[in-house]
Amino acid sequence: MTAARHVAPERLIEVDAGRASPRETARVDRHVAACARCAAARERLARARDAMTDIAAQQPPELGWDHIGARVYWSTSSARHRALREAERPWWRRPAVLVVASVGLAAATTAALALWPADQRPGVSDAADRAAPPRPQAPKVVAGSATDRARSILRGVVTFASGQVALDGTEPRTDGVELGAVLSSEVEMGARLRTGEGRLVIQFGQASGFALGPHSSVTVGSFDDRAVELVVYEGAVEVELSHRRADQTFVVVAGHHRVSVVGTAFQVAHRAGQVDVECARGRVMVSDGASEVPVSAGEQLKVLEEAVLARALRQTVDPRRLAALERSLARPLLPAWTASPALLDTSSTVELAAPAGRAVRVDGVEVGVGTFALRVMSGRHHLQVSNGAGGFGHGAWIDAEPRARHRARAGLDGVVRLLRSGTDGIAAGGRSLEAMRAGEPAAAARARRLRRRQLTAALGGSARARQCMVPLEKRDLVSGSNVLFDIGFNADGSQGHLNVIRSNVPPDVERCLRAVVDEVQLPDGPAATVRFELAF
Amino acid sequence: MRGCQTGDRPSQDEFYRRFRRQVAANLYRVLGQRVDLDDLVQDVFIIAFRGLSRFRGDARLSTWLYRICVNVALGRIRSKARRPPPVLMVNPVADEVESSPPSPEQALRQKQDRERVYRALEAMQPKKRIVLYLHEIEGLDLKDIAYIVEAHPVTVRTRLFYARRDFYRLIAEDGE
Repeated sequence: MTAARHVAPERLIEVDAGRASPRETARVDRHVAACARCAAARERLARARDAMTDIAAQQPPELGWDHIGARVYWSTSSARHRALREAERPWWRRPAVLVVASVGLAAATTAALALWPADQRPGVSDAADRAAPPRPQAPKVVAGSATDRARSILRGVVTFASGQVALDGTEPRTDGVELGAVLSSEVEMGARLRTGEGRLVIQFGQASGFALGPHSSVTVGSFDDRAVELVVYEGAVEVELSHRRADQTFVVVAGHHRVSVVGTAFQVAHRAGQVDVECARGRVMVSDGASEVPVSAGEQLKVLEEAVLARALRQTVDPRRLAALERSLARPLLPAWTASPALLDTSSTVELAAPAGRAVRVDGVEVGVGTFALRVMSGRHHLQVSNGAGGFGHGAWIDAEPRARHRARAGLDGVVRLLRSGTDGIAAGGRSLEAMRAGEPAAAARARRLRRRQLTAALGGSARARQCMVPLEKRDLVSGSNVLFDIGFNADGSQGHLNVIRSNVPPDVERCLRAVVDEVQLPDGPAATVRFELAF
Repeated sequence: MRGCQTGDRPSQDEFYRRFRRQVAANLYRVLGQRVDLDDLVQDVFIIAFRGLSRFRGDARLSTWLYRICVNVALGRIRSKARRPPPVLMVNPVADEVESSPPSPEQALRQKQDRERVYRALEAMQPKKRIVLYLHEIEGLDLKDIAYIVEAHPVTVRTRLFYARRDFYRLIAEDGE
């Protein structure tokens, strides 16, 4: 039997599937019986067919549904808001109009030049003149040129505040700060920012911002599109900058030293007469007026305030310290930047009271620790707090409306509860975070009780839930089985989220029970998040 | 559906909850790995929410969503960033229906067989791969496949003919 007469694989498949004639089948069977190569191919094809059946029955693994949902909503709501902003823009400033106008203007100019006799155009008398090289012209001073144009004032927005912070240079209060009010303020030139046991993040451009660490005092010296100058009196300021205009300078002044930015992410600390510059990414230049020392990514420069800069020692930052610096520099900034008033109009604040030291994630990204206030773009966000055992609870959803102030509280178990939110604000309502910690509104507790009753009625004695337990019944393991769910109900009775908090049943049984709960639709009523245990 | 088209959030919630597993399953099976399944599921829903206003109802919603899944998967297949080899999970559904679990040897062999199938699929041209997958694994008919891949049924039939020939030859020759 030669190779040319081997059975083609697709024919083997046809024969094995019973789609060939008896005569063809017999011929192929005879050949395969005598040909080791075709027999091996037939075996491989048969196994591949089985594997394809397996693949068709494959179920995907459990994914972070809430995280994916948050990212989807974030993306779609951002696009919607962009469209809304575009619609609100005056018609003559819309890109399409500008493009059409530009094209029209260019066409009109071209037509005019074509129709205008060449010998009548100013400065063009004859062919010799046209061929002559351009004559040097005396420099002219033009109002609004690159050197003299009016500076555009920057305004920063506070995107994160925790602990004791103040924007007016006063001593930060220790008896509870209205963090929501801090987030509603703008930062302008001359602002004196101070922190006690707290942290403050200010954004002033797309992916550009700076953060004050604990016990820091910083004045915003210059703050426009030509120059930004921060003066660090005490403490540490961490800076992250996106791409800047070529003629814009960014300088951090600490003692007698100026740190001018070439790179993008760095920290300048000024403590006890010593200036400490650490650069995580890019490059910065440190100068004392007499000399300059570059500090590159991964390097650190420590210099005493009165010491000669040129003799200061540059050293490589320890990798662990560098990793910590990177984490520290990863401050919460808003992903889309417009002018600060527009940003304040389109974003909202989330104030969270969480136990001290507990890490907090928003949309899967760790943004802070303990109690703080954060500015987020409007849209749906997923809030999670660590449960003390290293993991994160299943969290809660926040539907952030523009200009709204949302409040949430987390317990020691990492469970997040949303408190009453609104546009009245903490200051107007007179409720501080401290007050929020004292207890949630009774209405929320009533809503939870109502939803729990409705859920019990919907699921009590569910035949489908019992059906899920059949695999355990066979092994007599039903008694004592339980699954604890965290369910968020919307006002229309649909489920906003459904998470399994705790379970002692096998994953397939858990999935089955989760699917049963997932299908529950309650009547219209108050929105509430409830914990519900299915126990057997 | 109408609420989704107007950007109504509860409607989008409902849409997402109803179809998320189906979308994940489609992507998981067509790509045979879950390394960046989260991102792909996210992409599908973003495209779906943006495109729902243009959905004319000329196919079932699930089929329309399937079309998006296929396009996202095709983009993933065509991307130059190479993926690690397929990571396949033991199928919990299969475990549930079997009277006894497979032996470790059997499980390993099944895993190797599935990997061989995906290896052959990855060696094929993306268009042929998708058509073959939809027909031979998902069991869809030519009309549905034509809608999903946005091609004429005759084109699909031709593509499927060559895809099956290539695929089974790759399988038959694998290991020689």
